[in-house]
Order: sequence, then structure tokens, then C-alpha cells
Amino acid sequence: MNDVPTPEASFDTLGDRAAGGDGRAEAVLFEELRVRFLTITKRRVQPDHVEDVVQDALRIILGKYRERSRDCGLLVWSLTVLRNVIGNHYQTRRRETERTTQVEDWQRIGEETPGKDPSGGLDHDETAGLLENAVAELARRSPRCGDIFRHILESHERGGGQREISQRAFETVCLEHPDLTRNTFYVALHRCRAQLRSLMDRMETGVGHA
Amino acid sequence: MRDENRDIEIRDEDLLAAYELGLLDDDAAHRFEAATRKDASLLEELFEGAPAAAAMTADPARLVAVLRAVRAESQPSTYARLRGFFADLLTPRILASAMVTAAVIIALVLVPTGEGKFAGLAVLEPLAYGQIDVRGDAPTADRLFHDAMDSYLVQNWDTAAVGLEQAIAAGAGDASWSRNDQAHLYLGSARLMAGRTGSAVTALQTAAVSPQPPVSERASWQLVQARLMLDDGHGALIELEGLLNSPVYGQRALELKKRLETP
Repeated sequence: MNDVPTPEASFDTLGDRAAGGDGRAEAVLFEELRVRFLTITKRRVQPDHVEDVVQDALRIILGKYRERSRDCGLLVWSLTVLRNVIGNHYQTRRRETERTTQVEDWQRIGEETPGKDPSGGLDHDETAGLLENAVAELARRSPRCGDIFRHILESHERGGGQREISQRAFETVCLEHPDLTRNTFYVALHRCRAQLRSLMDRMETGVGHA
Repeated sequence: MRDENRDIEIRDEDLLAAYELGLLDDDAAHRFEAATRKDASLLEELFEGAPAAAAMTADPARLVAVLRAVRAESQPSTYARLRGFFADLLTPRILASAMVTAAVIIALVLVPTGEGKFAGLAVLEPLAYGQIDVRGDAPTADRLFHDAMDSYLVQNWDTAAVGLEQAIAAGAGDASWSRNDQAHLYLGSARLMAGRTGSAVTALQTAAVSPQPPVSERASWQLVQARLMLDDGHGALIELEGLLNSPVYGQRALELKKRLETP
């Protein structure tokens, strides 16, 4: 179905090469992003708007990826851009519907508009606040998970390249949990993440005051 | 030396968290990314978690502070031991006298008599809270906290406040109880919502010195509202100063500060 060759390097490496002027790397990178964006967007946006949303997101990424902060990986960052574009798409549609709705029909707007953003809709501040609460709760419930996240984030805080951050985090976690190997560390981290996501979901849906 | 060759096999999906947090080397990252092309559910999970992953790596220091604070809570500190000592010392009779005195001071000094000029700036709204189940064998303080928060979520402020006071009292003798600051935060909020602004301040002041930013900043923001309700513009400004660098409240604090400083 798709005859674009599989990239030979990670998104971040492709991004670095593209930023350095490698046109082929840039083409491969954006094709890889496009394929994934289509998969995600098709599940959230009406079919006739999918291509527009994906192109909008790719346009923003093309304009910003060279200057973006290296705090998180290129794909994760790109997905946050797509998320915002999908959110904006729903907001725009809601405003359009409100503009064209007769005044006497205004009460029905909430039921009739396609304005509910299925991407979730928490803004940056809300996400940060929810994350802090969930991380604190996770650490109370599972001190081991708290330790794992703490060591990783402390390593990020100290800075350095990917290899340095990763190695330092792994070694400090191993000081407290010497039974871990590199892969069991990743598995343990993945399980902690699942718990964190579950807490965030429950906190988000359990919030009593919208 | 660790023998990496004897490591376990790992599934693509188990690499997700390490990928999000930038821990994978290029080969492993490439392997995971290839999997997101074939596996839509894996891509979906990455998409759903992207804002949280980005928030984590954008400001790791803040979450580290949260995690260190929770860790410190679980280990009895000098402060906790002292708190236990004073809790033993404070008999109900002494405590009642102290509370009456505090109430009189608050009534005389803090409660305004007329329509305040700052009260209109106050935004009184409940704090968000996601209810979490408690285990059957959870400490009494946790169960009382849970029940009180049920009342809080249905906006039964007085019942919530009473329940939170009981939870705090139950947790006072337990140095390992980790929700003391959180309980003071919601107690302050419940009192504020119930119109008991003066007594809300005392609870919020306790929560505002919590080492956990999510608790201390929310408490400070609620304190700002309480100060405004009490027509204490100067006090509100002092609280706002401490919030200006908050990634959650910074923008709102700056805007409110400008409004307060505008003659």
C-alpha cells in the first residue's frame, strides 16, 4: 500500500540530518510523520477534513522542527503539535456552527455542534497540574515507581545527551534496585507509566468540577 | 559488570515509556518507531501520552520536587517527630482555648465589616479532585479523607470540612500519613466555599508551606482569593508574588497582580 522505504534511522536522527540540509532525510521524515498522522487523525476527524488537518500539522512542524526544544523526541513533540491542530479544528468548527445558528436555537448548540474534541482537550497548564497530582499519588502508592521516575527526571534535570541521561538514570535506579537489567528496567518503567496513565485518567474523569 | 547479553527479550510495547522519556539509543528508538507504523494501538497510546511525556521532560525539576517531597513524607522526619510531640501536648482543652483565641483574633482583625473593594476580584471555585479508591486496610485517616472528599465533590462543603478536620486529627499521630498537606488544602477550600473565609486562611497557610508544588501552589492561589474576600489587597499581592514563577498559576497570578496594582 505504501511504497516509501522504511527509514534507516530514528526520527531524531532524521531530524538532525534534515536540519543539516539533507533533503532526502527531510522527505523521509515527513512521509513517516504523515503516515502516522493519517492513522491518528482518521479516528478523530470527519473523512473530508483529515487531509487538511494532517497538512496543517505538517506545515507547522516543517516551520518549527529545526528550532524546537530538544527536551523531548521529535515524534512525541510532533504528536503534541497534531493534538493541538485537531483541537483547533474542533474549536473552529464549533465557532462556525455558533455563528450560523439562529439566536433562538442557541440552547441547542451544545448538543448539535461537533465541537467535542475527542483528543481530550486539556490545555498545557491542566496537563501539568494533573500530571503533578498523578505523579505524587503514584509515588505514594508505589514507592518503587516513584523512585524510578525520580531518578530518570533527576537525570534529565542534570542534562546531557540521550546516552548520558539514559545511562545515569539506569545506574542510579540500579543502586536501589540491583536486580534490574536494562530491559527489565524498561519493562518496570512501562508498568509504572501504565499506572500513572490510569491515575491520570481516573483523576481527569473523576474531577468533580469542570 | 552487568551482562547485557543475558538480558530478557523485550516486546516493542514495553519500550514505550523509555521512548517517551528519551532513554532509548538510536537503534532501539528506531525499532519502536517502526512498530508504531504497524501497530495502530501503540501509536494511539503514544499520541494519548504525548502531552504528559512532553510536560515531564520540559520541566523535570518540578516533578523531581514533587517526588522528593512524597518520598520525604513517607520517612519520619524531625518535623514529624516534633509534630507528634506537640500533638500529644495539645490536649483537647488547650486546643479548644487556642482555637477560640484564634477565632476571636480572626474575627477582630481579619474579617471586614463592609463591602470590600477587592472582594469583586476574588474567584471562588472548587479545586479539581479525582477520587481514588482506598483499600479496605487503609489507615483511618485515609478512609476519613476519602469520605470527606466524596462530600467535597458533591459540594457539600460543611460536611467535607468536618470530615477533613477528622482526617487531619486521625493522621496527626501517624508520622507516615502522607495526605496531611492535601487535607489542609481541601479543608481550606471547603471552608472558603462555605463562606468561612477566616478559618479557611489558617488551613490554607498550612498547605501553602507544603514541599509539594501541586499542593503549595493551589493553597497559595486559594489564599489569594481568601485575602481578596477579606479585602486584604496587600496580603493578596504578597501571596501572588510567590506564584509568579508557577507554570500552572504564573500567568493568572501576573494578570491579577496587574489588576491589583492598577489604581
